[in-house]
Amino acid sequence: MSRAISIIAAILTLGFLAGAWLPWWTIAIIAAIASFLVPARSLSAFLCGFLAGALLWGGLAWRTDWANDHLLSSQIGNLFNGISSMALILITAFIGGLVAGFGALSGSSLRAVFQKRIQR
Amino acid sequence: MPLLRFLLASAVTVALIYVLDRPLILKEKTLPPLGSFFSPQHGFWMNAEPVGARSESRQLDHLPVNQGISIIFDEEMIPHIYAEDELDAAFAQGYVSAMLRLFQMDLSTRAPLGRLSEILGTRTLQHDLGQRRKGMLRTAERLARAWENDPTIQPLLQAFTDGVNARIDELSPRSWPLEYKLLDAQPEHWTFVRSAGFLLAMCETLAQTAHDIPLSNAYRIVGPADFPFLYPHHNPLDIPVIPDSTGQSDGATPVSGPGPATMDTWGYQDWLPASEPGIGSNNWALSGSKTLLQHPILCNDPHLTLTLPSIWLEMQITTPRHSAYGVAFPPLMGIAIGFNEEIAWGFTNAGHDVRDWYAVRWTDADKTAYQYDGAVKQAELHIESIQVKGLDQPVLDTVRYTVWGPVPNVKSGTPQADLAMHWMPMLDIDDQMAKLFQQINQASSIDTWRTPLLRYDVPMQNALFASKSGDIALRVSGLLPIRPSYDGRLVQDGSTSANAWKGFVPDDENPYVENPAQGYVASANQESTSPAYPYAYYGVWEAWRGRYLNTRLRQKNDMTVEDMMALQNDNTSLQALEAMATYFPLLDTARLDATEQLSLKSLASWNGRYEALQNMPVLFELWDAQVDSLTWDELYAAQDSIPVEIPDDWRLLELIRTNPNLAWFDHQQTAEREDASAIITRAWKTACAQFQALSENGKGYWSVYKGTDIMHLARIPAFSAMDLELGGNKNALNAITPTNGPSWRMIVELGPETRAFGVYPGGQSGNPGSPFYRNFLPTWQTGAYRTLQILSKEEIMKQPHLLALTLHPSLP
Repeated sequence: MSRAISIIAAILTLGFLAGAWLPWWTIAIIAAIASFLVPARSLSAFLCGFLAGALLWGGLAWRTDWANDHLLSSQIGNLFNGISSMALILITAFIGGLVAGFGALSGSSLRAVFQKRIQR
Repeated sequence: MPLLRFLLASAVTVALIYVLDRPLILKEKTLPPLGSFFSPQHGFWMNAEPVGARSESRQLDHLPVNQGISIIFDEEMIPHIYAEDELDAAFAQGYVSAMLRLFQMDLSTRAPLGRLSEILGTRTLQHDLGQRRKGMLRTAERLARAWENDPTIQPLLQAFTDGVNARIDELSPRSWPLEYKLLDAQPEHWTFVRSAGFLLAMCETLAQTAHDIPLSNAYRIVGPADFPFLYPHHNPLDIPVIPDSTGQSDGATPVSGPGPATMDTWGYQDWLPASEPGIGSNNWALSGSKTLLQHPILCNDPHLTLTLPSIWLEMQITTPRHSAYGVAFPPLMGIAIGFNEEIAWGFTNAGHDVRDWYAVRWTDADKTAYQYDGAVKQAELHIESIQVKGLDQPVLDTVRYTVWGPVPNVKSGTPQADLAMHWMPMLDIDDQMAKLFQQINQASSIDTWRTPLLRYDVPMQNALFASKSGDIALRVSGLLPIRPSYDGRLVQDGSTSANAWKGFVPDDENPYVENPAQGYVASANQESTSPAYPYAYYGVWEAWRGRYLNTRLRQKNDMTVEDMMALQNDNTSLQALEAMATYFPLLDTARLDATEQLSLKSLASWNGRYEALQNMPVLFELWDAQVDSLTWDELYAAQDSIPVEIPDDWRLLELIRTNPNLAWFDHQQTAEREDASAIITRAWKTACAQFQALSENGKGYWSVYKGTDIMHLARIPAFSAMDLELGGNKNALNAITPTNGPSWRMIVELGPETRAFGVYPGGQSGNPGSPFYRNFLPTWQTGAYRTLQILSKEEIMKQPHLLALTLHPSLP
């Protein structure tokens, strides 16, 4: 449990900091590094990554949308077949989650490759 | 096995990122790269500005400015610029324009230059080709070079350009305007060519209203005898812009018959640039003798295509020499319409024809040489190259230039003749437009206002002036061509130099009036002068607003600012009132059924006001349109194959009153021989049926029937204001049409303390994610105004404001 929390916490903080300077997909690399350093099974690594990515992207989007009084999200929602502001936040969270999740999966599976070699 | 799992996982991750990092092409639309677009630290969320932001201060260093500049954005995001000299003021204006309206500046200058496809792809290729074939890019480049070489313009425009680019350089992809993210495009550095491009776009809007091609076709259809009868030059009821316009010159150029020199067997089916109806404006100034408080009042409401963001950006520019307040075009320097501490100024379009078409006879199959003065002359071939997003190679196109100008539409094969375009902005004229507004902003008297106008060329404008010293003036400004023997209305023979323009009306003989006895000056796109003016000219004139305005201004001598507000929002159409007065007596009521009789009673009690929620304007419009189409059925039928000019609506009313038995009233598809009365009666019956159908569908109300939309510049509906509840009509002072209308309403009372009011339909920010994107719209829509004030830096710092910016020079 504490491992999961440390992976999520690492992705949240480092992902937020890196996102302010580096390309959007850096979150995948952050997630990969976090789950490479902290041991976790594939499924839980993916879930931790997904949760962290979704929390980071969804949370930031939610905060921005709230401060903006839904002005922009309602117009962007219109652009995407009239979906709601909340749906837009959920899509944001899902994309962030997916990218971070697969990043984390890659990281943990790389760790497995090395562990296998050490065991031999 | 773990290695395989790792390879699989990382392959999926990379593939996912790859897919999300590029535009997604669906059936009809292209979606932006979803990863960066949705990323809350990169994409559209970054453009969602906090609502209710508190005041903030920011310092920017290392800028190419001479001294420190302060820019204070007030609570409505209006920048108040405080600069130590004119160069710094120009830099600051460029900076704030880009800060608030970068995408608009980009798109509105790409469009005229034929450079849209670089960011929009093949869907705008035809538009770009059309612009290039008209020589727009080439002309803008020539103008830009002339400005580069003009020591009075170059430093100022360079400072403005530096300001725009300083702002662009501050941005990164994540802080680019939203539209770039949506279109997966990027901004590029500002150049003189961009400012020139915008000036040309205004020329296209305001100075290509000539109807030469459809008029020439009408000439062929109606014949030389009926042509001057159906399309007369002068409306005897008109009240011209310049009240006493006999002029001083003896250089009169009599207009001979309008005979087009080349009447080919082919009709002029050419690509026809649209001149939108309803583009126009009102402006007027009252001297103290006409106002309650004895202070001059200046009013101006330019009617342009209504867009979001608005074509106008409001600001104050203060230097030690002057303080000006008003609205600017974001791509141009200076305040276009506004006031300073001494004077107020405004513009309406003069509507003169400054574009003629010449038929060029090719001498070879490839159309590279043509007949000219009895010899064969080679056309200059200019290759245009258009970059198109999504295509590997640029699209190349050869444009043929003749002595007259470019041939925009070269038809393949026969006929061996095409039309060349001769247009004022393309001539090698010494255009001083780049600094016009900046100079007027510093004017303090009639003379200092008028001097820069003497060097102004195109588009022709009715320039308006009022001052605290009590003067008012109005000048038809711009280069007025003198034509040899025809009036420029029809396509001319391009094989002889005898048909060329013979110079221009001397600057000091342009129509002009100051402090007339009537106590006011007024323009609303009507004719500039009475026929007594010594120079012949032609144009497209509005027949109703000007007369209505003059009538209203004559009625009172104790007018107030509130009266002016009511007048700018007046929905009365003189056209409707006069048409009804003409139609009613001729209506054959014996042929109407009970419902039609009842509707007639309702319409008879209508006051001619196009109010949003009334239904009588709809019924009248339907009737009026029917009368027009039944009368000119021969011409409308011809419109199926070629563009044909329909006679003016004022002329139709005049003909109904004076010639009700004219053959033109006979409807071609009936055996009966109709007169005006029969046409009006039939039109009424049809209109009643149409009105009934509309009413049953809930579309019988004026604002719904008219359907005004204020579209986003890139025509993205989500960023537009659609189906607005609005009154007004193109013939009313409140000239709101489905797409155009008062893009800025301004009233300035020049008493000891200036009182100024204004509003435009939009907001200061060009960002749809800003609370200032369309916040002025409700005020404008209800006919209300905001107070406009020149504030000192000390005064504004004491008030609540959004942002205080300080721009510092490179070196301390």
